Amino acid sequence: MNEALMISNILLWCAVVTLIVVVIALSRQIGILYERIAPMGALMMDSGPKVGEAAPVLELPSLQGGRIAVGAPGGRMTLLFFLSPTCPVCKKLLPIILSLHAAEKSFDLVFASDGEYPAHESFRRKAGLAAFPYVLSPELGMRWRISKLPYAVLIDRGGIIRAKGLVNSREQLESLFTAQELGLASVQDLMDKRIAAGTLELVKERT
Amino acid sequence: MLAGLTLDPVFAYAAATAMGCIFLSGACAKLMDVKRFAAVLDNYALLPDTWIDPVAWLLPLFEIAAGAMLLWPATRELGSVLALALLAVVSAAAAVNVARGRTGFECGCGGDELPLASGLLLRNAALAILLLAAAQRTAARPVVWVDIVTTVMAALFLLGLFKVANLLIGQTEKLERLGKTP
Repeated sequence: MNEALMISNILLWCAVVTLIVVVIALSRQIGILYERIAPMGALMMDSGPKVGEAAPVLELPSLQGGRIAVGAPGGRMTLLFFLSPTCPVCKKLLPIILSLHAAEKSFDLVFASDGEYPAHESFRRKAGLAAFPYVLSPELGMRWRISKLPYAVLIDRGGIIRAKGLVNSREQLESLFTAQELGLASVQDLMDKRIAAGTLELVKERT
Repeated sequence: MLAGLTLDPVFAYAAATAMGCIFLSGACAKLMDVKRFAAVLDNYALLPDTWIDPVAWLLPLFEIAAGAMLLWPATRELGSVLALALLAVVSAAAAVNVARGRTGFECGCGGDELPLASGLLLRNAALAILLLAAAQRTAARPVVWVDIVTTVMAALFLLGLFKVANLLIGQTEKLERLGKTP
C-alpha cells in the first residue's frame, strides 16, 4: 500500500512539473500572439523608410533652441538617435555615442524622442546632451516607424539613409558605421547575404 | 524563526530552494550588466545620483548572499530574513512609483524584462509568503528519500510558477494596449 502511494505520488509530481512547463510554453505563445495581432507590433520592425532611400525631412523645434531640419541633405553625415529618458539601454549607450562622436568628429548627432518637455529638459542636462539638437516629436517617430528603443539611423550628407536599426550595444552601434562603409543595409543584411551564399554552396555540393 | 511555527521540512526546504534559485538568478542577471541596472535604478527616481552606482553593485551582491544562504540548510533561516528585507525594500520602491503613477518602465527585477506594474507587487507578496515559509523552524521527523523527491519537484514547480507569473505580468501591458486600439 505504502509503495503504491509513493509511486503514485512521484508520478503525480512528474505530471505537475510537465504541466507547468506546458503552461510556460502557452504563456509565451500568448505573448507572441498579442504582438502579432497588435497593429503596432513586431511587423513594424522592418517597415519605415528603407536604406538607400531619401530620408523624410521634418523641420522641428530643438530643445537647444531654434529649428532643425531632420533628414535634410547638406552638411555632414547625421546620426539620428531615438531614445527615451526611462530606457535603461539608451542611458547606457549615451556615453558611448558621445565618445564615438568626440573621437570621429565626422558626423552630426541629433537626438529624438517624444513626451513631456520638463522631463526631457532635465534628462538632457543631466546626460550632458545640452550641446546637441534634441527634438520632441511623435510625428518623427511615426515617420520612421520606431517601435522599440534605442533606435539609430545614419543619414549621409545627401540625405540618403545609409544604415538603421535597433542598437543595444557599442558593437551594434559601430556596426551601423561599418554597414555604411560597406554599403550594406545592416549586419542582418550581411548575414542574409552570407546565408544565401552558404545555401548556394550547399545546393552546389548536393547537385 | 519569525513566528515560531514549526513546519514540515518539505514545505520549508522547497520554498527555500525555489527562493534561493530566484534570488541567485536575479542577481546574476543584474551583475552581468551593472550599468544597465544603474540606469534602471535612476528611473525609480528615489536615490540621489551619487548613490546609484554603489547601490547598483550592493543590491545584487546582497541578493547573492541571500540566495546562497537560502540554499544552504544551516543558514536557511537567516537567509530568508535577509531575502525578506531585500524584497521589502525593492517592493517599497516599486510601490512608491506605482502610487506616483510612474509605471511601464523596466522594473530591473533581473532575468525577464518586466514593466513596473501593480501585478508585480502582487507577485512580490506571494514571494514574501514563500520566504516566510522558508524562515520557519522545521519539525523534527525522519527524512526519507521520497521527501527529497517531493522537495526538488515542488521547488521546480514553484520556479515554473514564478516564470509563468513573470510572463503574464509582462504581457498585461500588451493586452491593455490591444484593448485600446479601435
